[in-house]
Amino acid sequence: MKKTAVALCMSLMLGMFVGCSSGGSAPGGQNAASGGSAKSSGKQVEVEFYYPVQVGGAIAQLVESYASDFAAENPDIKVSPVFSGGYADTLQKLITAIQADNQPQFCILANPTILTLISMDAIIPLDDLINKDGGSEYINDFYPGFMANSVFDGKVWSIPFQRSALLMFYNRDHFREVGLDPEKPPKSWEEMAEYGQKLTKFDQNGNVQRWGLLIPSGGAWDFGPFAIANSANGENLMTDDGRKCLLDTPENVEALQYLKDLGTVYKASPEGVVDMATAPANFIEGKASMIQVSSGNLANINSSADFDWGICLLPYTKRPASIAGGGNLYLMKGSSEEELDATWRFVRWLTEPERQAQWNVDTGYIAARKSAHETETMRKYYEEVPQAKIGFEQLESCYNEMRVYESEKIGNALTDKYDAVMTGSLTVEEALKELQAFADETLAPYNK
Amino acid sequence: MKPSKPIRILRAVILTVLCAIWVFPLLWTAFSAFRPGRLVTSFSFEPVFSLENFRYIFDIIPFASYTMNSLIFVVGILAVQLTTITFAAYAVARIPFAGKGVVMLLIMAQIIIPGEVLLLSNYLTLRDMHLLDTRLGVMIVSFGSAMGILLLRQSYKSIPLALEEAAVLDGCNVLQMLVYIYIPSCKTAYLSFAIVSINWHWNNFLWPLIVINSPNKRSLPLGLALLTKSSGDAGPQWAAVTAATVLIMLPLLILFLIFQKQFIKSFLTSGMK
Repeated sequence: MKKTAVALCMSLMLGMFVGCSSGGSAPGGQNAASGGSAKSSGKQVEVEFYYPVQVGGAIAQLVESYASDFAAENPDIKVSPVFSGGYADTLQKLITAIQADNQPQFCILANPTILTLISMDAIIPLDDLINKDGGSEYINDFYPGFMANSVFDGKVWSIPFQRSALLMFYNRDHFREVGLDPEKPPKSWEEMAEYGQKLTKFDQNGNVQRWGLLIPSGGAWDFGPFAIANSANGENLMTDDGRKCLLDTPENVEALQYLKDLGTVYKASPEGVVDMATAPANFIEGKASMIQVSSGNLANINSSADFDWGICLLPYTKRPASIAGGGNLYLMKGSSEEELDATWRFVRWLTEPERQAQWNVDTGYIAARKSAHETETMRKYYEEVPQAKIGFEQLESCYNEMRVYESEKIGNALTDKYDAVMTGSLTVEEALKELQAFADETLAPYNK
Repeated sequence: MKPSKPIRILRAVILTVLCAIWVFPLLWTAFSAFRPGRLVTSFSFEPVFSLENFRYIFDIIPFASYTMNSLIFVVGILAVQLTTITFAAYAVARIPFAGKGVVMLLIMAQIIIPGEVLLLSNYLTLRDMHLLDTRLGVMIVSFGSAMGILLLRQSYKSIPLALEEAAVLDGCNVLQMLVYIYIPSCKTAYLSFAIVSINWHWNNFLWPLIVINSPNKRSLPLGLALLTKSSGDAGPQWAAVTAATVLIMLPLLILFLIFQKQFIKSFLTSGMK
């Protein structure tokens, strides 16, 4: 018995030793290798990039077809797209590759990842490239709501690409059924609660057959519009420099209390936690009349819903507000001059208005450039799916997704506290206070 | 020694409940795979079935090449593993040599370190060997298996030395001894190891994701990721995900059902008679 314990201890120590030594060898290996894999074969410049697949459909084929289309027009550049799972997997693959000095030229990653990438010193600011080719005419063509998470410290760090926004979908047939005018969706929080109450349907035994309103409890992403719509001067959940969270304000208490009341007081929503994944499915099945979800659901709802449906702007108190989600293009450090030029040419090509418009039609992501929405492609699309036009109007009031240092930790804490309020184990004031304390503590190292 | 009737009934009830808990997700996945997307998240038994989900996923995932790659990974790894662990286990079980304790410690240390910790150092090694984005690169890190060595070593040790001595008298060399005595006597250990290894490498996602860049070298879990990772910007497509899950787990399920009997039987009859 004793012998086993000793052996175990020793092997544990040995394990630690092995772990350390292999970790220690990393920088050495990095210096030894000159540029990693052979990237330049002949005169052709190779541009490699990682892309995640975050929405359904044949996105992978689409992205790969972009690479071959671009190569056909630009024989001097070879574009190699690399599928890399979801956003989190992509980040992991990227970090591994960076350690081996084998990183791609650019990456598609979630838009709030910007601070993580900057603190890793992994990405480059794009201002020089923009000034050389494109200029303000190019960069100002992107919606400000989508650009919000690209700009940090006065520099542009990413180009909006696969973008989305939170929208409200509603069932127009249900509106007619309970005597509401489908042309007049709710505008204010009071209306939303009142309509939700009317739309909720019970059977004889008092069991719910249909909810008037489903707002998923996903944390920062879903709470964001409520916090911003109600905040004193349009503040987001954090300061712009990402070093401070603004969580326990009286306005946020009001907003969270309202969300809680939707279930407990108005009976317009279920009490407790609403899972993000179930809202669209319930809407399509006719078991929910209004849902607040990402625009990414538009294509699915359009093809599956067999009733008259509409999209409306998110109801608000002081100012209209929604959150812009989705992924941006980040250019990695470590590319040669030629690779950088080639990458920028490809990025410009990818974000041409016509291509963005087609991307919007094919995937359901919202084209990030204003001029894309004036193309013939988009005009036709809006004729076929008139509801999508509202999504486009919501862009005028889009704010950025919570961008703070340690956003993963703070985001998870926000989700936990939010759920605790919904399930009744914490009051709204307690939850936001604890959350603020946690955020302050977590961000303390960044405020020295 | 037969247990009394009430106990037998109780045992049957408990086993039935356990079995139901175990089999429900499996059946529900298979059931959902044939349901249209709008019904898949509801608990409805409306009799609507379609093959639409399968048509859809065949458009997105090139199953033929992904399955081929998965097979290459699993079979390739297992073949090399069986060879290396046989020799290694024999060495640590039967051959006296200096520093055997240290060797055993090193092998055990490998079990203690989780694979994720070695991700980066393995990646760096592969880069230096120019094996990134190759199938060999995915496989080579698993060519040895500490778990396999320990498992076999225990089984080898349980074989009486007298058998080996008799074989030596008959003029067997080490290789013949392995082939005629050790390997046949340890079928159970080999079988359990094979099942664990196949299961692990068939399902492995992270390592192939990191190593593989080319679309034609992707394995099935990467194909599944083309569907499952889509929860971020749009709702997850459960219907398509369940259909793909069914197809991907089917080979493993069949393998398990075939070998289940043999697996359990070999447990019961192993050991020296």
